[in-house]
Amino acid sequence: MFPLPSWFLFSSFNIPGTLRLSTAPNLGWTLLVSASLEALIQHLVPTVDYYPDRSYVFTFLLSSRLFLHPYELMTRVCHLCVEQQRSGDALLDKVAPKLVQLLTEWTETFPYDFRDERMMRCLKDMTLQVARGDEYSWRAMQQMTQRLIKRLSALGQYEEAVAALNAVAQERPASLKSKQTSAQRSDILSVCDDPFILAQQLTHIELDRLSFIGPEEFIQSFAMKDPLENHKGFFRKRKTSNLEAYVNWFNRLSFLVATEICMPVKKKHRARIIEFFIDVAQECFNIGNFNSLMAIITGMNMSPVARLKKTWNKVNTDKFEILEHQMDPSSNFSNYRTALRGATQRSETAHSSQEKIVIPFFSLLIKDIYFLNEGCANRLPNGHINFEKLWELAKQVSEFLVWRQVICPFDRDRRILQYLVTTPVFTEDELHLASYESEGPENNMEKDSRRSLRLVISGQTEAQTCVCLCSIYVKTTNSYPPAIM
Amino acid sequence: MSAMRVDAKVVMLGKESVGKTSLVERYVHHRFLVGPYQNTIGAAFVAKPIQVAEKVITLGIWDTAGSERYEAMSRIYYRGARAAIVCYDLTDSSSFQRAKFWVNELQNCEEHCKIYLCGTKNDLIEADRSLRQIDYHDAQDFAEEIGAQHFETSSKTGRNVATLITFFLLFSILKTRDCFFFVSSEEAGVDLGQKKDSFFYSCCHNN
Repeated sequence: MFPLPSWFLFSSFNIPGTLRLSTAPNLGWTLLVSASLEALIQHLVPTVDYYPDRSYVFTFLLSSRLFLHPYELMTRVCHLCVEQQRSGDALLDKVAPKLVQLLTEWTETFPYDFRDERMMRCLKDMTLQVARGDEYSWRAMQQMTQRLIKRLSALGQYEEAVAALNAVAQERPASLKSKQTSAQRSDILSVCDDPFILAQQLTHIELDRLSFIGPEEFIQSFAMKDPLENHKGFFRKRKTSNLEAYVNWFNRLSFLVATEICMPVKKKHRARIIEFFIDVAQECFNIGNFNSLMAIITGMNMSPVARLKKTWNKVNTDKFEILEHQMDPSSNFSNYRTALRGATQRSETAHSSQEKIVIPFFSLLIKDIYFLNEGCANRLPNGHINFEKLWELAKQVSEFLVWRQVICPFDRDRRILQYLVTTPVFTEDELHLASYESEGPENNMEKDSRRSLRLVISGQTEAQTCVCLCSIYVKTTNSYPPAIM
Repeated sequence: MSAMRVDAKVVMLGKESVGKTSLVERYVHHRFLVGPYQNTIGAAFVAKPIQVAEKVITLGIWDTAGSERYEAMSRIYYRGARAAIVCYDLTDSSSFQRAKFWVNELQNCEEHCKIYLCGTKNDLIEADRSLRQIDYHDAQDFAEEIGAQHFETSSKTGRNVATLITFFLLFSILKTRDCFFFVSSEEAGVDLGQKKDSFFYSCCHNN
């Protein structure tokens, strides 16, 4: 999608004098180091004999939102384009195709920017402008707008689907409240007892959710935080939250794993479920689905699960120790980073779509980007924008965009998918209580903890009964929506 | 001199934007984040070798900043940690509630982990006292109840950060065998009040 080898390289043609460059002598290319915001905006504007480098377009569209709202950027770019035509520097029919190309790159890579009506209006205005030039460009604008509208409506459907699924998962049937009646709830093994198939279905969910995350969502969260450089309220307006939805899926999977383990009354059964999830985790590793792998390891490390010593004694943990070693946080997850490089190489030289799959451990990816942003200043002391930082941000995000494109080759199993995303899971407190009921408290601290948990949960039960009764009347759609099937 | 190695894992816990990263920065690089610096990808995990007398202590500091929304993951990070620095923002009472949650987790799951309770952004309080939401004595009482050390720090001014690290190093050393060097060294006895600055100097500026 993006010419990766030329990432840092930047052609020396047509660079206005206000950009600071550093030369890479061996390569004969130059690298943009810093520039004023004005110069950078100017650099994005196509002219009769100039079109910005693709990697520059991506980098600047991605990160300019740290400094100005996309709408502001769009207005200024369009204004500059129209200006040069008015001043007679350029003929409209010469510039129009290039402007269409720029807007196409914008709408394809950052479609969510156009949820803002002002962006849409600006796009319409430009379509009218371009129409005066040549018919070809006008038609291209029309097609681009059609594709954009399609993408945005798919996003709308996805958001509704996620909300509906979350609502179903929030319904708390009586069977969850106490362990005695939990036998009524179907468990994971009754839905799927093949670790290979479960790992494949998890991969489906990962790729579904990953595919809706816009590249700008990584940057938007920083822009929101900085009160000096943020135009308040802009991003809140129809803000996308696909990144949050993906984080929530990770949390859900961890809690689901912990719930499945803590729920069974018999020790033998609990041990069997632990062993099953170890096999699932191993298959996730083989597929290259590091995110589900880590969520499963996390679930097994949650304190209510970790404390079940008698259960763990019955489990052969050899395989699990290898997996934990792979995902060990030591030295900033160096083992995992090595494995990720391996998976990335396999993906680049893949012979089958299955080998293409790389699903990174997402928490670490956003953490790396977070530290990149924290650790480097946006502007240099002279007020110029630190473009080296923006290159680095773009590099991180573009790698993610390559992974995001993979199409999941496995067959979908609706029943399993629905179970994974909607079956109710225990809360933190409920998990602890279920854990104490499986293996009693071992010391006074645990005894106290159980006592206070019982009080808290019996208090909540009454309130929840009301909620459950209400939800009978407000019946939510109960199937995994076809939009993301 | 062949120094003896002591490896100590330290984990930083605390609600989003309480200032964990700034504290690590001040800790390791003696500065508050203002300008650009290189090699940030590794910043989430800082390995800092510090020489103290005949020992080299390698602090592996794990900063959980940027991944706070991954609620269930904290145990992956604090497992086997020698110390946890649980941060709360002196100007945000909800961050103190969250700190209590982690203290509880640590006490349940990591009994050998020494807890340091750390109120951050003290410089804000000094500029405007009305911003304070967590009373010093309330936090101190809580710290005593759980057997933790308690500090109010500012990464901006550096206030108390040196004291925090000094306490931590002392603890790391005293926990390992044959290391009563403070007690047995020439002056005999640990006089922190007097020795603090020179100790800090020797351990952090010599490498």
